[in-house]
Amino acid sequence: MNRREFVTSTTLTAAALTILPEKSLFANYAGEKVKIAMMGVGLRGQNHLALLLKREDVDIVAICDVDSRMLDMAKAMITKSGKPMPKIFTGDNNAWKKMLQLKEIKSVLIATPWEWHKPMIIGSLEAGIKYVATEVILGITLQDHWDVVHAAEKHEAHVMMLENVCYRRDVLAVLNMVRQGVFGEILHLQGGYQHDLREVKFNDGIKPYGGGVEFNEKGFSEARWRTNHSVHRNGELYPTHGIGPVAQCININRGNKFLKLNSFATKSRGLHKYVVDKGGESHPNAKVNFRLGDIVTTTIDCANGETIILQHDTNSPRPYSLGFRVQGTNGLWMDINESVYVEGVSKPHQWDSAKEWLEKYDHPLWKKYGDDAKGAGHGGMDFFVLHAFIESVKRGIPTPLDVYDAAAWSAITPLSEQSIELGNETIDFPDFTGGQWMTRKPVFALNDDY
Amino acid sequence: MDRREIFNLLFRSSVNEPIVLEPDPVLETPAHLKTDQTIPVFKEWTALPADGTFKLELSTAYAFTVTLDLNYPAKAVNPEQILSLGIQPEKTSSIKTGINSEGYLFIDNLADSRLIPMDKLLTGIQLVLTVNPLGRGMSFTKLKIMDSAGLTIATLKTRQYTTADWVGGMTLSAPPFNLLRIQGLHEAEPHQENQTQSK
Ligand SMILES: NC(=O)c1ccc[n+]([C@@H]2O[C@H](COP(=O)([O-])OP(=O)(O)OC[C@H]3O[C@@H](n4cnc5c(N)ncnc54)[C@H](O)[C@@H]3O)[C@@H](O)[C@H]2O)c1
Repeated sequence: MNRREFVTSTTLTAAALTILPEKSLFANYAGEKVKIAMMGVGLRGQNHLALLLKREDVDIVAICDVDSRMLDMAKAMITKSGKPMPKIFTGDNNAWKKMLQLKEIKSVLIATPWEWHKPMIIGSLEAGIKYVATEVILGITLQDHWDVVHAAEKHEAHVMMLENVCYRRDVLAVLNMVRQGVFGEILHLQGGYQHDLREVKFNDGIKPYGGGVEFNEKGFSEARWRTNHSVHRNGELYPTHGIGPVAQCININRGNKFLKLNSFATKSRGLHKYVVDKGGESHPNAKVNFRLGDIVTTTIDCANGETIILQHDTNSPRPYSLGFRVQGTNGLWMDINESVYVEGVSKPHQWDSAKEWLEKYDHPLWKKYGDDAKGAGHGGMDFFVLHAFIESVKRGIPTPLDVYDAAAWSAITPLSEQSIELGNETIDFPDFTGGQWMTRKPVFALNDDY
Repeated sequence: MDRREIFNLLFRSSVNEPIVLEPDPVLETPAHLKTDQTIPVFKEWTALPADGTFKLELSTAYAFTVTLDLNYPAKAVNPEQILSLGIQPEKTSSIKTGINSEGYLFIDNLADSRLIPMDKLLTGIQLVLTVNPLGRGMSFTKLKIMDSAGLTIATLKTRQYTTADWVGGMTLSAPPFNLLRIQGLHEAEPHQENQTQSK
């Protein structure tokens, strides 16, 4: 599902409540329910809310947001579900701190703008919460990433970044193929966030998608905060959807490590052009100087000798694609042309359609939960990422994506910004694991459990 | 057929220069990149050695890295340089590199243009010096500084040195430090290393 479909469907969900549970999940669950509080019930938060409401093993005890419209949409969803209304916290940007005083909260799910993730994660950990799920992006600066890692270590708590693309059906099938050695020894990987966000970055303040060229306080949903990052920052601003899946293929933080990166950015044209084309040259936003290069290309070097290319491409007209490529000594997968080539199996020098390969290597998780995932956001993968978090809380075990994964993936942003700032200098990655990457073992999606 | 023969045929040249056969092109790995006969060198110090000199004890014909991790360099008392790593102390013209008292990275007379914020110099920093041979005896040298989060905040590069310029030991003008680490390669045969060093 692409962004347009996603945004449209969540908007419809919120308005017409059509995708809410037909059948509940884990209805026979007899254990202690996961008591969760939500920070941010904007469009992404509502997506998670819909999934949480479907689960009988979860109690949503409180929600917090500063936007009354978003809160009303969330409340309507809860009412419709027949579940009890959680306590509502709102009023100002720090209302979440009051929410954290509720003793019954055992886990927190954060789906707010990026700049709020770090304070909300650390605030939750300091309040004694042992399981924090955060939407993608851990912090803004490199120091933010260290602060979150140190806080998780200090409080012996689990911070999971909800990197849903790690659970995409084709991505998991390809991971399965990698683990079974189909591609041989992995050499090179590509991914990215190649998604025309112009109608997300600008809207009319009413709809979440297009209809105007407003942003910041005059915008709605992501136009309200995300666009501002394009004004002030130039770098790989959204690395995790691209890097998460490929990092799993080469066991980053578990026997492997990102060593260094450099980033190059094109000139910035798309956002200004969009404002002028849609709003006219006299629109005040036509004067805004957008720093973000339209296409930012980042190259990463890994300890075990693999290279990775990430591309951030959100300001230009283009169909959606994360642009994955996983290549080894025996062959490769490319998602853009949906094809696979495996030496000795494929016809020499000819692509196979990826379909048969992906079906053959369908991941056990999808085989088991594919039906439950139907209707969940982004083609079902949202079900899995949330499921992994909830199962970890229920069992009191570490989350399969942990704070070190989150930090390593998300730190690409400040490192790439710095690379560009220093004239495309190659920048070293810090080791958030403190040397543990050498001995840690892979834990992600090893079976059909969670 | 040789190029000259073709020329002579085409233009009926009367030039009577002797035909010199061009050698066949040869592809081989440059000597400084052939590392199969080397052994890794990895040395760490957490305090100044007794004689004040960190011996490099590696072959500068191959790439090497010096990493210096220290706290509060700006508090070091040194009128000219906040911190300097002096290489090859036995020679009169040793290479000095580090952070100058204005707060810029420097390598001898070369200084970076990016000011290192004083607040960074009042916390922990890491200086990383890498020297990569380029062949024909020259070296590419890069000095970079990282802040306490590990973020590279400035770099300085130069090609003005030869591999031989780096032979020797190293002194440090701003102790105390947390860690000084040297990583590089050593030729497997000790006498070969001497040859390299005397190049
Ligand atoms: N994984 C995915 O596929 C995916 C998809 C979309 C968005 N996201 C991520 O989800 C996060 C939220 O994005 P979104 O699209 O829902 O944006 P949004 O603007 O629709 O929602 C953000 C919500 O946070 C609220 N908020 C802002 N400051 C707050 C505060 N101090 N306290 C409480 N609430 C506050 C806003 O009012 C808004 O309702 C971002 O990190 C985004 O990158 C992820």
